[in-house]
Amino acid sequence: MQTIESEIISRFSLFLDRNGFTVLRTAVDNEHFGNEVVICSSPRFRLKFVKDRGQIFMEISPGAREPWYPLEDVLSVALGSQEFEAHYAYYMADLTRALELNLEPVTRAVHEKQDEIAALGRDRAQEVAQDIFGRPIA
Amino acid sequence: MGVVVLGHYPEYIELAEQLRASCFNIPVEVWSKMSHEEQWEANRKFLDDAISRGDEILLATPLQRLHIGSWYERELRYLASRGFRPDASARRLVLVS
Repeated sequence: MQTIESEIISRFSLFLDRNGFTVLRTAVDNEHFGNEVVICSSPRFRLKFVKDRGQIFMEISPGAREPWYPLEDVLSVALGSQEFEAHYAYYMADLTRALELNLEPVTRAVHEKQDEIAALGRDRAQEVAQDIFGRPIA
Repeated sequence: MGVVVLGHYPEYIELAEQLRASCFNIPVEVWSKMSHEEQWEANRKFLDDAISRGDEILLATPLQRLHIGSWYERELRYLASRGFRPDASARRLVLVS
């Protein structure tokens, strides 16, 4: 991997500046689709942007050497599943805005509700397996 | 017969390199000039070739970290349509029909 111009940095630099994030690592992989990983840190949590074959996803972690969770799972726990599901399309259309609007609950959730977030991930895996493969994971 | 690795970036690249396995790969200069349909066609051909060779299919990213709407999800849906299912570890797809 080599570090060259990052689409993620140029696209999200204002968001990162506004919310006190420092970029810890930027890797752009032009040998593989122009994939990217950008890891940022703020006093609240760490944020990882992944560009995978042109699609950008976000994951969040309480800190160094802690697990990463899909941002949508953390939002669901932070806001409550009913609220999240009710506005699912709105939140998913712009995850950085959803995060920015809900910094306090997201910060609390990622530090205090990791068990709940991990359980949500496991439940989602079963739903995905059921939906895609027609049966849950054994 | 070989091994192919699917998943989200960077896990699938890392696992493929570690195992010296295959993974779907196109340089950015080519990928960025393809239409969405051409991109999926290339991806599907990679999967079809793996199926016809009887390759082992490993999942570098567990299903709880699958992002909905991703290429990875589309790959899994395609393989499901071809009769593949996760094994007990959920880190490997096996042909069941």
